[in-house]
Amino acid sequence: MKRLVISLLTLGMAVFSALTLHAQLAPDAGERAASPAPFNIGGNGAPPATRQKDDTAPSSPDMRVGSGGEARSRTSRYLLPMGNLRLDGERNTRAWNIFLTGDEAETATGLQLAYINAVSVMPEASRLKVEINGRSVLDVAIDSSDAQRIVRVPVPAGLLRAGANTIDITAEQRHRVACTVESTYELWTDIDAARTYLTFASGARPGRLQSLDDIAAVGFDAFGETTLTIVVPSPRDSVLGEEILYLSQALAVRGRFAHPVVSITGNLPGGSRPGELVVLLAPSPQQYAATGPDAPVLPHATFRSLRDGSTALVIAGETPEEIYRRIALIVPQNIRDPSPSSTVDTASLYSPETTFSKGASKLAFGMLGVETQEFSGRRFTTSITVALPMDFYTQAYGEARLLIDAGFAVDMQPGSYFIVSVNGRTSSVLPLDMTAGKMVTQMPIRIPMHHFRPGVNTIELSGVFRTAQDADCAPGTTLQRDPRFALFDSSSLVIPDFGRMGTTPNLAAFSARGFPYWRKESTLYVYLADQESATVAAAATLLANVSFHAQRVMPVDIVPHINAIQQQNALLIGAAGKLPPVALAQTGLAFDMPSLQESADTLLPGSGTVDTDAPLSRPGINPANAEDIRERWQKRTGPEGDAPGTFAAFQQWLRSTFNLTVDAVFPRLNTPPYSPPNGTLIVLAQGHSMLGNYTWTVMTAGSAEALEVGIKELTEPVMWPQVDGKITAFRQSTYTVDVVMPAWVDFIPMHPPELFNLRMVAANWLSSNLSSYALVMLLACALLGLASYLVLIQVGRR
Amino acid sequence: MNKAGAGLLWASVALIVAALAMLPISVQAHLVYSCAVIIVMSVLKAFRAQGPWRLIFIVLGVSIIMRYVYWRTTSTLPPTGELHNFIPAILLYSAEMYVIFTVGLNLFIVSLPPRPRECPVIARDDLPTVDVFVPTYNEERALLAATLAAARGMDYPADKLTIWLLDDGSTDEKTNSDDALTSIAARRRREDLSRLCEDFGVRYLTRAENKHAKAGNLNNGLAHSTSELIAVFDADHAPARNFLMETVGFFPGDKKLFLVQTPHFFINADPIEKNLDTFRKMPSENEMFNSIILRSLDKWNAAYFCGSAAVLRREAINDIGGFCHSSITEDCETSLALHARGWSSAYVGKPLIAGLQPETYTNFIGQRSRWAQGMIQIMLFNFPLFKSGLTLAQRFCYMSSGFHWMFPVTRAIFLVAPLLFLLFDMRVFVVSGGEFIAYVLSYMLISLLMQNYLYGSCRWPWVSELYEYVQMIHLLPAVFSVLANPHKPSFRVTAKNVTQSEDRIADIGKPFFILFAILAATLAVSIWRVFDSPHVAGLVLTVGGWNLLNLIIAGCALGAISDRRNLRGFHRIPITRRCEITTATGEVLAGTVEDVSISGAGVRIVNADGQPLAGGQPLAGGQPLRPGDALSITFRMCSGEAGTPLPMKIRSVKAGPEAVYVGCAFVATQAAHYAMIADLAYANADQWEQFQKERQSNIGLMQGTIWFLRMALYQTRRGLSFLLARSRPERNLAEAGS
Repeated sequence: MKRLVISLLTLGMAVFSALTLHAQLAPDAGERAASPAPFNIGGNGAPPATRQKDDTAPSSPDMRVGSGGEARSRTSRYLLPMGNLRLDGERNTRAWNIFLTGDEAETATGLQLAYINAVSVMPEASRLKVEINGRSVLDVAIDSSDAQRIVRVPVPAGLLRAGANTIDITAEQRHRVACTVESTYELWTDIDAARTYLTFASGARPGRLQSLDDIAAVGFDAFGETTLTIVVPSPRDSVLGEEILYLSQALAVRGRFAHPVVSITGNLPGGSRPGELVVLLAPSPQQYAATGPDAPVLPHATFRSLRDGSTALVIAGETPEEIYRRIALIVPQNIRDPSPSSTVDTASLYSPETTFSKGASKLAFGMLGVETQEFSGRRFTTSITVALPMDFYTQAYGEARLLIDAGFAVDMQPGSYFIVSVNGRTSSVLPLDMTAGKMVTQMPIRIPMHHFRPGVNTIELSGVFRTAQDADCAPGTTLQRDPRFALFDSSSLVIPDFGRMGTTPNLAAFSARGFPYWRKESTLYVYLADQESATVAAAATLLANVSFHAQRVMPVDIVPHINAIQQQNALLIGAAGKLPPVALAQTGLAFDMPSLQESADTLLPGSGTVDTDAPLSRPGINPANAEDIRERWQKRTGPEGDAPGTFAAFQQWLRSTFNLTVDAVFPRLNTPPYSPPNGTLIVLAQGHSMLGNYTWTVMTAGSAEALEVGIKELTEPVMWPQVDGKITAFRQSTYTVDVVMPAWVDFIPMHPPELFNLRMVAANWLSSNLSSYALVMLLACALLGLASYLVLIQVGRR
Repeated sequence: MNKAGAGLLWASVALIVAALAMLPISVQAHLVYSCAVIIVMSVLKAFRAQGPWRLIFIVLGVSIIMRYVYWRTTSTLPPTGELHNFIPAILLYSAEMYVIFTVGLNLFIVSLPPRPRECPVIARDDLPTVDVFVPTYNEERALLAATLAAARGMDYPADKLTIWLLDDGSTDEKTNSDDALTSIAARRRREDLSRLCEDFGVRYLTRAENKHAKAGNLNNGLAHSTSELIAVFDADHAPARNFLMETVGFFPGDKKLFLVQTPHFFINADPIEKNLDTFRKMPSENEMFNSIILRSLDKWNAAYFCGSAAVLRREAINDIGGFCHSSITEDCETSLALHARGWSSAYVGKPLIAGLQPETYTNFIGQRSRWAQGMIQIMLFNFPLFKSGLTLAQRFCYMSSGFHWMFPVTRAIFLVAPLLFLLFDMRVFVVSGGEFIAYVLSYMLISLLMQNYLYGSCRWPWVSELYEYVQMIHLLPAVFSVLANPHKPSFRVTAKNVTQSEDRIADIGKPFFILFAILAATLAVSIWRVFDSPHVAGLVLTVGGWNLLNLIIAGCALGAISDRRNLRGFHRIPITRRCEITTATGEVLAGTVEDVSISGAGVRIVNADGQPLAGGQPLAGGQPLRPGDALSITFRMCSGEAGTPLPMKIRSVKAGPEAVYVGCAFVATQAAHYAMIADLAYANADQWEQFQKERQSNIGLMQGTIWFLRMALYQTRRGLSFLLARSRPERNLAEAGS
């Protein structure tokens, strides 16, 4: 008997450990395999996008108007919208669009690319390729591990065209010696954004805009930013605040700028840098007549030349209404359409553009930009993007699926698997048990929609293939070009029918689609804590970015007093000390947030003016990695750190098997006001309006300057999609965000109630409030039990 | 609240619960809910909460089952593209859904069992006339004598009671058989039984040919008799003295009543019980049906005739032209027809007959095959759902009884399914480790909880699984045969009271050993696979655990079918009856009858003055009692009359410090002797009830599971050693069994 009990116990333990094994595999593999989302050029290892001044760059970021330099002549056009780009793994491809004016397309002559690669990359088997509009313009061996190499190639005449041009960069890399899957993480090539650009024929004048359509050709700088320098007569008391906020949105949408940054100045610059658009916002055309000796006022045209030959946009009118009307002309026709916008504009970041999924859909890989391809390495990755509406509400229970059509040419050994990460987080692991010659059709990989969010989602599919050949690792194995795996473009992504319900607080929906503000033809109410130009600029940067993602431009009403928005959806922007306490209280922020002040104080010691390009030195080690390490240690030690005992072990098991915590089951509804952690530069927080069921979104920092710098940092394409929850604090010190998820959300229906949708909404709500489902069901069952009893005592024999 | 209001409330709340249960919520939310339900249900079970709590308990369990069904349907089926997985997956899925459907019907039936019925007291003068039918086919004389004596001993006005022995074993067809042996045996039997009947004052009736088996025999009885009511007792079902007084009283007050059924109480163990040695401590397998299902069917006016131990109204049976005979379970078929004609039935929960059940596995399976085939025939010929005249509840009840008998098919699928993955790597159930715990384990646990709460006192954990497995192998062909050819099966009398003269494995047992070997080999393969392919270790362990469960049950079954020695011809019932013993030399001693069967009794003897026997050496006329000595006992009968002396012969003597125990065989020569034996053995139904109550204890889920595992381990060993012993015949067989 005793023996039986022991063997049963052993079996039980074995079952449980095996079950957890399955789950444990996921995070581990995720940490290794979750390669960056397209935005996340940081990835693992060294930060590629360090913002250090680089004297060799063609244009120095801190170049001021009037200062000399190569860049003033604007003979170059940056190519990397994400800033420095790291291509890692055995095959990595990125594709996006750049926009050129007709002049630029005609006069561009060459392409310069600067890269450095990891020492592990074997030059004989590794190639770096660039295609423009589908035609190869560069194909070189990756062979520069000791120093940055600059490659210059000519661009064939006629290849570029006015408007969108597709850039496609691919790195195919193999390890020098190792054949392990792990070794593929040592393979990378970094492309230096500051030295990678198009060059133009001498005498060409890139940057000259001739029509509103050319605004997209402003492009971006070496960091991927587009600076909108708005020149106003009196920046200190921005009487034109509303116009600035409206204009910023209009330009962001019209220019298809993925990361617009607004700066406000009172002086007309003598020229503009690449990626900068100077806009003159004048109450009357005459006002600028005197700004320059040779500045002709163009009464009808809306452009004028700056001293360096680049073009500035002029928005002038006698009355605010007239200015407003002129700004409205900038807004593209399709955006003015009052019907709800269900498009995303990702051309500046991805090619092909992201598909927008409004409900159940099956999207073939071919359509999503993943072509049929063969692969000879051991770790295959590819990624696709799909956009979801702002009221996407199925995160807690939904399941998308990848249906894979693939072929395997070699035996897959145990430990081979497909891993899917969504928005950079591991979502699914599927062990592979394949024999050579096996073809799979529509093999499903279930992806919990937990990490999906409104707006653009990046889904990365990786295949980790362990083979006998690699285990032997005879010399030259990595040189082999025989394909081991083929992925067919008939594979597809299946999005299930999902619940549609707007929720607040939900900063993810706000950042991705401007919810609940950017949704109908109404007015965007903005409360500014002060009239400083930095505050206005910060507000404008925020609005420009949200507007770009929402694909909608909202008229703005800057309210003078908080009482005016007591019963309104509103944005409240300002330094923490200057915002009314009620704004902080309503959004769950503490009145006293010392970390914000600290960050603001250390930000610009003694600097009076705000330079939008103020160098922000990031720590030497990858901060994301540091956070990862901390989280990994927290995971390893459990929530109580070193708390021993079976309960802790049980919690640990719950978390690893079900991603379930005790806190999730028994949530605390009364959370204390939030005070951001050290090193926080800026905080976004969402909550209730003072009265009624409206949403307030607060953006605050230690000072107006910190606000301006903070929002610029936070809106970077790599950071902005991480904005989520009811509070998001951007920690400049670690370059991470701290997200507080709401314990309770309010529903804001976007569509008339519909039974099927309500069911899915209920499912999601009950799934995200774990104990509520149990309570509701227990109650309903008790009621049904009683009702059954009432019936049963009356029917049949008693 | 009136009926309509309650119904409306029920329907609307049920809709809400169904909608909630069918929400596609996350696995975490389901897990939290499952845990909450398990806790609430465990508490309710611990407090044995009844009344409204019972319904809450059931609804909670049903909600988890509904969630399981929803999840199983939407998330676990392999893609239709993989036909080699999809087809077996659909089979497994259908089997599960079928089982859940039958569980649903069953839950409806047992939702709120009615209070036990109390028989109305009728003045003796107003009692209706009763014909007692004892149909027989091949039962031996002693058994019939005991039954007839017990029937004769029933308390009822003599002028209103006629007892009939309906002998189908010596029909003209048989006595005139061309086979000499059959013919002579039949003639002798007719002669013998006629004389027996004469002695007892019982009418003997046989007929020309054995047409329509038992139903035909009963119809023949009907044709020759006239009483208002008919009581039917199988030849091996001896009624208690108060049988008619506890049942007849229902009829005068309810003119539409066609049946009063009483439970079949068995004084011997079925072969499984006997081999597992659980008869004395564990509730018998049949008790769940007799104590709970029949009683619950009575709520819905759907208690049906079980072939014996029942009283029927002649008018009702005449209404449908006699007992039905299109299926081989004429009893249930007749009830279905009568219910459909608007007649009603009643069930009395007290055991009022003592019966014998088959003692060998072969006969046990024969009986079950008949039930299975007969019930499936009813489902095929008279599908209750579409049978007009029935209430909805009655339709459900009959469907539940009929569908139950498809269990060999579903059980076989559950047995094979894990092998498909473990041996052939087929994915028939797409599930991750976490989902398995949250959905499958919680579903299984809740099923066990519900089973234990609803049937725990009559059915211990895992016993259903064991019995179904044990029957599955041989019922499977029977089920397929009746499905293929519904008219083929014919009635065969279940042989009972067949003595096992030596321990042996029934020949029928071979498939069990083969299956056990396959399951054990699969266990070995799964252990090897865990280490060989660690990437699927979680899945292999999960499915391997399922297979292990099957293996444990299969192992237990090995012991259950390995017959134990059974030397005593008839089973002894423990009783306590004061008696006087007269030795051959005429000395009168005082004693107590401590156990009795229809062939003999055990008596504890003290001295006539009540003093313990000195030195433990009993003296009878100066001579010690010795085996072979004759003696006789007298005792007061239940009716109050003083009985005639009952002659006996001593078989064994065991001396104790205060008394001596003698085992005796009856030497019955006349009807009065049989009346005495029947009075001793069967007259007092209270003692059966007491015995039954003693066994009907709910062992609980935990303890029951541990008990079952221990037993399974022991029985596996016992079954395997039987096999070894059989393969080496020179070894002492008895040794192997010990």
